[in-house]
Amino acid sequence: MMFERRPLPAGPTGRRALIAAVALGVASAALVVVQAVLLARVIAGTARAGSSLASLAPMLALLAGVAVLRAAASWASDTVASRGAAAVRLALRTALTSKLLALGPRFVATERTGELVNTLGAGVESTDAYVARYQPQFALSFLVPILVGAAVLRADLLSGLALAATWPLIPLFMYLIGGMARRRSQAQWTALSRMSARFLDTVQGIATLVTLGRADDEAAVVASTSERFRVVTMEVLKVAFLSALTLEWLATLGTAVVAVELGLRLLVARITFEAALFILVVTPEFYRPLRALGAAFHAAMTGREAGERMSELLDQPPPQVIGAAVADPQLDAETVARTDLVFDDVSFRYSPDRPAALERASFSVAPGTTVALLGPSGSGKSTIAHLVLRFMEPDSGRLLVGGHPLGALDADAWRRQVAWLPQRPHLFHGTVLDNLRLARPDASDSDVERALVLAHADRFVRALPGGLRAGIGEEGSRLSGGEAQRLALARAFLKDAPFLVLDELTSHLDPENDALVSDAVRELARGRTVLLIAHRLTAVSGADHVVVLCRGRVAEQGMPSALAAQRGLYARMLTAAEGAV
Amino acid sequence: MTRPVARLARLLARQWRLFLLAAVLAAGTTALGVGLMGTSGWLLATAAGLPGIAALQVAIVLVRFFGIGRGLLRYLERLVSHDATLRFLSKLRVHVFEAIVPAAFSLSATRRSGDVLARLVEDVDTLDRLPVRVLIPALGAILVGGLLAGLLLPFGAGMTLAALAGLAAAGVAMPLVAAAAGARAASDTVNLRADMQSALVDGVQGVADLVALGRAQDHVERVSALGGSLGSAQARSASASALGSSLAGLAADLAVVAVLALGVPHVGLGGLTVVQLTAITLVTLAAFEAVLGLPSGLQELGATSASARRIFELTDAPPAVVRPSAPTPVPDPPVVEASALTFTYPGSSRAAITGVSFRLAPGRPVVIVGPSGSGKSTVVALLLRQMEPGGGDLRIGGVDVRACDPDQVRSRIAVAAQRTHLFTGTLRDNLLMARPSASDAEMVRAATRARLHHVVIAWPGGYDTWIGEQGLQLSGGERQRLALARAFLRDAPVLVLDEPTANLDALTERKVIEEIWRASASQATFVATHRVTRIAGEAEVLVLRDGEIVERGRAAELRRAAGYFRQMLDLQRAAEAVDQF
Repeated sequence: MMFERRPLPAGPTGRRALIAAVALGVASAALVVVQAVLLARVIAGTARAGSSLASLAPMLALLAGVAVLRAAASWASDTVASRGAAAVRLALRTALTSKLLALGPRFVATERTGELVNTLGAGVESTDAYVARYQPQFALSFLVPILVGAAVLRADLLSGLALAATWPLIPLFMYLIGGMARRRSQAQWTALSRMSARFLDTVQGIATLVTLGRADDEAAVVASTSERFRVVTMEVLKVAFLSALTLEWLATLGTAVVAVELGLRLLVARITFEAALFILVVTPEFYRPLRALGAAFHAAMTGREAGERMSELLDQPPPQVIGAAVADPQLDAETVARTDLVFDDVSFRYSPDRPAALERASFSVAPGTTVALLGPSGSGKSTIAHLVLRFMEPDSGRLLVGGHPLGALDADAWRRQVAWLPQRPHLFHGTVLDNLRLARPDASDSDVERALVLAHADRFVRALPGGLRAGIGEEGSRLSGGEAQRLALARAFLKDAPFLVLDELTSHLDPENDALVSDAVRELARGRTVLLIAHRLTAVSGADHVVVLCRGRVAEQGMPSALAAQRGLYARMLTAAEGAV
Repeated sequence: MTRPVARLARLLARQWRLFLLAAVLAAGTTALGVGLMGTSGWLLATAAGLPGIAALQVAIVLVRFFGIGRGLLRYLERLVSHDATLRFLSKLRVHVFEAIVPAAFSLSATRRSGDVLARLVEDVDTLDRLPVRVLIPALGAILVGGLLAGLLLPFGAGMTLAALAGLAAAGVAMPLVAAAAGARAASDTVNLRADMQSALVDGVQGVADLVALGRAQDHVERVSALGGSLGSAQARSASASALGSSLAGLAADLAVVAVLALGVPHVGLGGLTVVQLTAITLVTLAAFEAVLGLPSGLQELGATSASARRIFELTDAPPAVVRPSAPTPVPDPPVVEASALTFTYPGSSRAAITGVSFRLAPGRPVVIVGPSGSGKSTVVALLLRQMEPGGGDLRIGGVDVRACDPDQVRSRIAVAAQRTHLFTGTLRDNLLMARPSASDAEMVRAATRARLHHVVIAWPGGYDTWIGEQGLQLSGGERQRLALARAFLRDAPVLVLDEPTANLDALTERKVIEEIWRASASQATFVATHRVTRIAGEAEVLVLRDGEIVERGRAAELRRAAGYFRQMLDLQRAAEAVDQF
């Protein structure tokens, strides 16, 4: 019924636990039947002559014992079900996280990050109602009525048949009324979600409201919207509760019919008092699982959307890999330091309906040199960096490392030889040290200390409460953009890779930070092969080779001095910079 | 923990008539169930004595009545309880909204508080559990207890006591035992869930860094390990909750056994008939329905309490600025003078700004520039009376702002904030918030000045296009223009613009700057910006560095001087020379 498109990966632990939970649930129901038998026997026993408490005491003790067993069984059933659901959530979350990382930065960039986090977080949690409660209850709503029905049938054929006849009515009525309620309330639900969105909107925009002097008017709007919300909700509920009403009626009328039928047959001595009493006591148990299913159904529905979204994510095709990935034994630091990187006629577009991000680009990066990519934003600089990092593969053309197609090499082995400095490095939840050791988990304290000094990050880190062990990231100390950049630089120093992809770290207006970062970057580039994404002309002057990009194409390339002498884009940029001064 | 719940209960008490009615109906539902089982038992036991059918007539009618009435009462109970709850939530929403208005700015100052505000909406919705799952059932259970005592007392005090003790154990004692058993797991769950959220955010926002650093697998393992601990804490918590329900069920079963044990000795001795014993046993059994929902309801009390605490934390937040009891009217013309303004954020050891002075009057705009974090936004917030100055003086029309009504001060200032909230609604609604009485012509005029009009007329819906969370998503530049149009429409004597040209293309930027310059002839204009290259030469510039004004003067003069302003200018020009192609 739910997650119809494909079952979520439950894992063997989860499945076993859920089967055990159902088995324990059935055991608990069986114990209820035993309780009913004993109860009927005790009461009927008092009717017999010569009975006394002493003669009935063993039966009462047994009744108490069975009650304890039943409590244990129902506790165990719930516990096992929650364990199983926890295992399912773990399997789901692990699968989703793996999938997301396999899909990589290119996929994540096309999605809304808040929504993704929500799917992996609250979305996965919301499956609990479905897995731990709805699923076992669904099985029990078939198994328990069969068990109870069989016991009743054994005691009295007619009563058993009466119960069996009413059972299918319940799902049938639930289905009919549910469908009617859904149809009638669809439009109203839309209105309701609009209204609750409206309140969220008002609360989030409260500062704007006060600034514009509209807060008092808005309070009146909140009041009237809330009142309308109540009226519409009640309209919806009037229909929605009908299904509960029907269920209640069928269950209680079932009991009433059985009671009257048994009473009349007792009159003509067609059944014993004990059997009749047993049936009366056990009849509510026949309907109980179905009623519990109805209650669990609504909670399970909330997980529906999240479940579909998860299936959608898990069904995403993995990113294409060109050629077989072979771990190249040559891919060590010394070799990479001596090899060149060649872009050979490379094209790439993010989606068929968008213009090419890169079109037939060819250039090469000689070992030990700095090649700068220059061009306005959107000209294809970042696409080149992402292709080098293998966040995606080119649509056509090849990237060659020392003559080998990059696509045929093991991506992780290649990335181990590349240090990347993004424009906005992410700081992970944890300490400064955790963040630095991401680059090299086995780095010693003195290595870390040295990297910080080289990145000009040592002073501000020492000033943080706790120094290297200060918490940063979402909940921790807030670092400025420049400080985050210098931590990322320290990460790159620690990684000590021969190939560097460097997104020029600019902070538009902060001269001090700019000087510190530029100095550290110069130090980092020494003796390495560097692909520099330049945002400013000043950054290009020290490069060995400049590739000027415009709308995805290589407009011109060469040594900076040679380009300056030509009348191309680079020369025009130089003129523009001078003219502005 | 109980204090927020107690405060909430006081708010709930205002609706006591409806809640009492709901509780009476809830008790009535159980009472009819008690009647159904009791009468049925009486019917069977009487029929076993083989009387004539006439003796059973009344019982048969009663059984039917109880069966039908029970469903109806359940339906009514659910309607009344939800209606009462919705009325309560509606009042609560208004109460919360009115309470947070005075603290709006301090609440919206940071991004995380934005999340807190959004959570507030969910928290209010969460509170429906308190009446529906705890308050009404508890009241109902007390009424049922009274009913049960009334029915059983004629047959023996011991039996009555045993049944009531069972009810108390099932409804109160066992849930408390469960809560104590699950307390540790519940708090572990809260902490681990926060850690999990951080990890998931890291995985999504930091995906590029993780992949480039080759740490994707480590991250999956981290999520997996956290998920394992979280799942185990959740399972332990669920297990404790299941323990509560199972023990409550056990209490019910044992109470029935106790009633039987106390009743059996009296049967046949003239004290009690079999018919009575049967009815008493079944009545006791049915009465427990009233308390069986309480354990899970009480289990949720923790979450309800946490939501209530968050709500009261927000409603109790001190107002950002104090409204004087006898405010001085703001005189005209409202020339603004700041002298030696100082401000330190709570919890910070460093002043955000120190000794900032300037004078705003019609004629020439005052432009404040500086790197991010240098204190520009703090100056803007002080001007807008979003917080109280820590030191120094801020006067409007010669009067200390602290002596004026903050709303009146704000009514004299038109603002284009950096982060403006777009409300779900038409563009027209969003613009007219600035001045509801404005004519269409005035609105179009303001939009034209903000360079928004030509964008809007290209939309199919024009000014009636839905925007905001549920409508058309505006680009950064479009939002910027909307904020500006609001400020122009407001038509106040003071104009404050925070980064008015960020996100605008060069041509639009130039037009907007012209428009601001024109406005400054008649409005006292203050502009905070990081676009140092675009400032008109005649503007009065304040250069902010680490919260202090390090340079001030005409932009043309500062450009010529070899100071900090000039350094910022050079940095930005080097980037712009590349980006303009």
